[in-house]
Amino acid sequence: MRSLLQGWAAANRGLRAHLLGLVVLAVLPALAIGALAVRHLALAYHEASEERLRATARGLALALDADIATRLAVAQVLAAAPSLVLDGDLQAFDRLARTAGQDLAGPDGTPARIVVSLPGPDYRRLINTALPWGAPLPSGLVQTPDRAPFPRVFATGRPVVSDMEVPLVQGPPVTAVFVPVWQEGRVVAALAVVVDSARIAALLASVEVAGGGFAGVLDGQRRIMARSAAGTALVGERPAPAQLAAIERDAAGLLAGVALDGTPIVLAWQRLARADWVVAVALPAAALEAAWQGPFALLLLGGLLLLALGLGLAALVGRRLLRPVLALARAAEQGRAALAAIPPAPVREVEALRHAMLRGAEAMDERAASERRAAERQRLLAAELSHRVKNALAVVQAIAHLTLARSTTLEEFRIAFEGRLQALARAHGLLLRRRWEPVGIDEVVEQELAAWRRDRLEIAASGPPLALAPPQGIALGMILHEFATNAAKHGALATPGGRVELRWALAGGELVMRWEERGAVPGDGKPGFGTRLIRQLAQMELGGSAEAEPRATGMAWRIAFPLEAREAAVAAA
Amino acid sequence: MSAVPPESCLAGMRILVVEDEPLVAMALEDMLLARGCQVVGPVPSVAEALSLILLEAPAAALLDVNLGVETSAPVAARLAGLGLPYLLVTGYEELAENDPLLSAAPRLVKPAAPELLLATMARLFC
Repeated sequence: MRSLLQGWAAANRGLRAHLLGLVVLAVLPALAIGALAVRHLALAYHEASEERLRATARGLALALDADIATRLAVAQVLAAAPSLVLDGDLQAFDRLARTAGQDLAGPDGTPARIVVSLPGPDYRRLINTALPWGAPLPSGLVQTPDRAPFPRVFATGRPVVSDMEVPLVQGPPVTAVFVPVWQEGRVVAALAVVVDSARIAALLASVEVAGGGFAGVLDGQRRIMARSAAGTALVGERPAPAQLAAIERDAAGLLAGVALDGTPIVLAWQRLARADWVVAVALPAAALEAAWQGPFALLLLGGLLLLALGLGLAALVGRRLLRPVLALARAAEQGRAALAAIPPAPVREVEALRHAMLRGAEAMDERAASERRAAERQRLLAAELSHRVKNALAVVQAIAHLTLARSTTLEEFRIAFEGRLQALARAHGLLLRRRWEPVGIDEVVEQELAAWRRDRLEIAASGPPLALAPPQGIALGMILHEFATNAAKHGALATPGGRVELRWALAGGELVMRWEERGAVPGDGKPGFGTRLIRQLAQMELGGSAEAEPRATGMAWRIAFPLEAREAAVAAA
Repeated sequence: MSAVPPESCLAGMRILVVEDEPLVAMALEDMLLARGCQVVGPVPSVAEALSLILLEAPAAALLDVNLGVETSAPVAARLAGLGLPYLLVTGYEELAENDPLLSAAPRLVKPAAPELLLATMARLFC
């Protein structure tokens, strides 16, 4: 069972299958309990039915006993009547007997007959109310002496209740009670009260046996005297030997058997107290079984209906649960818009799932958008880098080209080219460290001039730390390099004791920078390539101008270009 | 396929140079002067280039695409309107794609070999 449940739980089944399983698990125990209850009820009902059969048999036996007692009482009163015993006025007695017979009439109004018989050997009839008064009376000896009631009464002096007898004259079967007629201590005659068996049958029929049953009476020879059903058809028959054996063994009891018409029956019997008769009450076995089969069938039908209803409901609920779940699954594959378009689910857990999935989808969309933005940024950066590298290479190419055109020796080219390349590299390096943000003018100056100061050249610089845009920083670095190169080649820095002063200031939106050499003989003033480069850089890159102002004390430059008053974001380290 | 014209045809031709990098501009200027061209410019901006087209009537132009805060697209449009040939010299392959005129124009990628530049100019301008 455990492994079965585990197997069920482990298998990947649909929600509907789980729900159906739940219904089956819930309904089956209830059905089992119901079946047990019905079985218990059926047993109780069965026992009650059997007890009712027994009680009916007892009741009928009592009633028959009472009827017999009544007839015996009437018979004994008649047997003691003075007209019979003292006077011998038989006509008066005949009238009395007929009146009494009327009182014991059968169901069809046939009165009970009173017969008075003299002792044997011929047992001549003295009175017989079955015939008119005065009619010749036949002798009544028809039975074998030991079983015949009249001889037994004369022999024993005690009342006798007869079995069913078929009369000599034509008529229905009868039964009779016999009493002795005493005179002076002797039995002088015997008196019989004879009734039709129909009277017994009517008495049986007066008690209804529930469930389609019937009642019957067996006489001393266990022949059927009367039945509450089927009329007189079976009168005179004897029950099956097996049933008879049981009936002979016990005064009362219950057995299962087959009726004379072949129907299976349950039969309760009760022997009478005043006669060797047996009352039998029978019920068709089918009726008894129907008593519990009916409820059982109802339970089975109800259970199946319940199961079907449960399974149907489970399927319905399953579909109700599954529809939003399946819709969610479909929408999840289509993305956030499809998820958002789904109407709220009628199941709270599914709704929670939908919200969670929606949030997840939003987060994924957000991440995807963020990744797209990052990729775009990356692409732009790569393009920018490519541009700068190519531009830088173009500049290097231009420097090489320009420097080569003005060099007379390879050594001269090498020195000039390397110097310019290094100046360019220094300016780029500074900007790279500043992440291509605006850079301080003092930083550019320090960076460029430090290389010359290492050679113990006298350069003094002063000015506010204003911010330069990256291209301006590069251009200024290159310009300073050209200044210093020229000074080191022909000017103050090439003269012992010579020095340079560099100052800058912001005035009226314009930066003015002065480069003044002291202690040098003025050059020939012929503008070389360096001069042209300085002017070009100042004009094109700085958007300003560069003026050479040669003096007696040395070379001087004035650079001016527009600049917004803005301090560098990062101070010089 | 027509025969490639000799570079000598460039001699005496008035060529506008639009280039915002001073050193590159100087190198271009030197190279053109060495071939006998008359250099108009060089200038680093669209405004200056447009005024030189008006004032100095160049016959052809070398255009750097990226001019810092702007591109030389308006200059190319003006030249195309006048029926004047031009050649793009740029490090920006990708950004030129955004402009239909620029992306359709003949182009060399920086740094370009002087011989290739001159040959291309001769093919386009003569």
